Amino acid sequence: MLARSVALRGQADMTRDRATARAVVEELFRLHAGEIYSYLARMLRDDELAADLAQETFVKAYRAFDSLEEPARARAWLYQIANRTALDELRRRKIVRFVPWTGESRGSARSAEEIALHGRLSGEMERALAAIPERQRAALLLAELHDLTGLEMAAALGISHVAARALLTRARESLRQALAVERARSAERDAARTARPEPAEDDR
Amino acid sequence: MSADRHARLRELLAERLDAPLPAREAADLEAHLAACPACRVVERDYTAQHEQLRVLSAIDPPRDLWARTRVAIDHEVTREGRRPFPAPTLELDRQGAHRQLRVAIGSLVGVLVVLLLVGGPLAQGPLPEVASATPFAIPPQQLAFLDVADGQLTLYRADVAEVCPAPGISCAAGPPSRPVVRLGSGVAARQLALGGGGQLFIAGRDSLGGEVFAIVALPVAPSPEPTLSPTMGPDGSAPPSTPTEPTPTATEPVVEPSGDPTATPTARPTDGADETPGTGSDAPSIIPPPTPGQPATAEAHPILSGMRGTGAPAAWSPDGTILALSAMPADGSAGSDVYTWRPGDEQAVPLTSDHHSTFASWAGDRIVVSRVAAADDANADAAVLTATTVVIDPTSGEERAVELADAWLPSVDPTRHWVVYWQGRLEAQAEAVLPSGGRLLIAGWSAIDPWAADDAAAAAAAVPSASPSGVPGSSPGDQPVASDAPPPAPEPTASVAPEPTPGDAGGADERPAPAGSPSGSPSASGSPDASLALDQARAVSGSTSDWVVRWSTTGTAYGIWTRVEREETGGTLIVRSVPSAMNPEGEVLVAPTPAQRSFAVGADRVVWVTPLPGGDGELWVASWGELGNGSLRLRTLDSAEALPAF
Repeated sequence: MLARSVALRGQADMTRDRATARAVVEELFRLHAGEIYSYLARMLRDDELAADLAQETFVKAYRAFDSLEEPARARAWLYQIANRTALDELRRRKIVRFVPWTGESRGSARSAEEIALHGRLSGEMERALAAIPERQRAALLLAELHDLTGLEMAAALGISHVAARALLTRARESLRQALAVERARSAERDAARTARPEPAEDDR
Repeated sequence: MSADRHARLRELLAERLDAPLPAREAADLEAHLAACPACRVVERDYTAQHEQLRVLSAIDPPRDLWARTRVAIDHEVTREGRRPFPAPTLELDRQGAHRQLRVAIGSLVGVLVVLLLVGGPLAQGPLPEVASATPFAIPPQQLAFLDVADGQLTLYRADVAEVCPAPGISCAAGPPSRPVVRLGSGVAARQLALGGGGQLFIAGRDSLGGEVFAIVALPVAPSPEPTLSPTMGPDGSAPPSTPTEPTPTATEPVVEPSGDPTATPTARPTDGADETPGTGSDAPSIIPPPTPGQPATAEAHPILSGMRGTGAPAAWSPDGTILALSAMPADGSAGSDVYTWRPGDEQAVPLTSDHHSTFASWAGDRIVVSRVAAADDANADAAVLTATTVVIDPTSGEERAVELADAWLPSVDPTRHWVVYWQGRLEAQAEAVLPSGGRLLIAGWSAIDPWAADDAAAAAAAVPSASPSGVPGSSPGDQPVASDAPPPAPEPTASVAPEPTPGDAGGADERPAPAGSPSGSPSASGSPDASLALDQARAVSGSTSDWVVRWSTTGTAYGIWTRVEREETGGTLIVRSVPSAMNPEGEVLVAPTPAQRSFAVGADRVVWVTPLPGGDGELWVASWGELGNGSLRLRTLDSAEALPAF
């Protein structure tokens, strides 16, 4: 009887724990879903995939709730999950790419949102960001765009503080060089456009 | 200076963007910069990229992200063997390894904890909402939904007057939904349509699997001394003119599963155009208000028996006086025909008798019908069908062909400007028509409406007396018929996108065809093509198996529900605005969201059921308009099979 009572009590505690986990993850979603999605969208350059992985991030957060030992670091903890999820996906997508239907076929015209998103992603900075190594991109996004502190960034990247700073330094240099390449390409395109003769009236 | 030292100073340039350098290193760096022009260039680059990175804009998540995440988390909960929403109680004084964590988390979600402690155990209830965004008001509008309560089909009513701006998150409790009519048990409802005259159409299956098509007369207003429901005479007949009222008694109501009708549902006179459902968010609703005590009861009267439904969901005419549907014998002995039902009819009356006709939609007060024939090519697969479209006047029976090649189940908007239809491969299977690989398209209807000239002439004839200025009236094909017409949009043409190209993986060049594409449509020469492939990717995969199109009552937006595989439960719902000059593809008003097949679109909102693991469902409303877009979770349902309607 005692053993059964203990077992039942344990089950009740577990139920409460999971209820807490769900409630906290819901609150974390409310607070951080936007930035997590934004981070994933820039890491992956695919809005639908980013939505899938944002969802996966919070499901993993619920699943791994017990690993959140310091609630004050919940944000960095979420970024850590998101970052791992993104890097896993980036490795996997080299093999297969899943594109869910969004109401817009890949062949049909883009929605206004897509146009806006891809307009942002099409800038030199976005292209340069995409060109640098993924871990460096992650470090730059976390530090510059998402305002994580050095410690938070290190936690999110799963590396030491010193290693995180070194990674960020390398990332800045990589981005500088990538930006130079992108600007050179842009200049070449502009030059080619300028050099191209206007079509004759009859050809129009 | 060594290369290593030079590189180290470059690193310091980057590092000092993140944190101040120690004084000595800072001094070294400044001294080096003064003597190294190339390093100053690098410094400028770093500073510039630092600024550029910080001004990159955030990317907004899709509106349905929370809905999707919630479903996924609930699935996790279910997988753990728990209810989706276990009692969210906290035990702050409990000893154990997680005590410190729990208390600390309490500070993280303080508002939530207070709610939980004050609210106490909420076993089996929905998770309490965390204070977040402030809801904003939208024009109030009633909606109805059919759910099972205490084993009985029950019609509920909810008055929606506010939504939440944050996508996918409920910032406010949904309005109370109250049972207004109990319909009995024994039928699993699959379709629901509210008529303007107080009639409710229900289609479903009885316990033996037979399909049921029935009409329920709803109470229009509470009556302190309700009359009895239509009584059945000894011979099984009922007085057609007897006013129908629900029976607010404890009598067990039963939805007749099948068989001959035993009573004639009688029309409650339409109280005017305002009674038309969904004509405006401030229009009076035909949904009866809740009555004190137990909900009223009402009987369902079968109008078809031994049949199974075909084509688009049954729908009422815009004035709510005629129900149109199509069905075929359940034994497959013949093909599909279109039926209509009017108040006073004992049974639905066949409108066609060719056994190849399927109800598609209403186009004003006429019925759009898809008709199939075997492919002419003798070498072709005998099961392959070709489709034609006709529009039939249900009063005269006159029908006219529509020049819209290979369109299946065209759905015309209430203003008769636009049509959404499926184009692809149709196959026959035991007299049933099955779509097999195709896509949904939107195109202009005005130019191909075979009745447009007649309506224009009738309107012109009516104008002199109605318009002293002598301005000729416009054709219904040119102007919306509703008074709350959509804003001017580019006059749509009837062009149709090119044939699907099976096997094409889809690329950026898969744009809608230019005007005059060889699809047999009477495209206006030189006009921009208004057709738009909506799900070409699915068409390429050939996996689109089921879809439903519903228009807003203003004709300015449409919802499309699709399902990829026949076996898949649920599907995806998206709501778009119609194409416009500013946005040729239309705006996505409600991003793709998991939804059950039954949904309803009002003037500026959509209501749907999101399936949850374990068979539960959630009723959601999303709205759009000048006040912005918003959504609201109305309630958790006991069944994902609930049917909403405006």
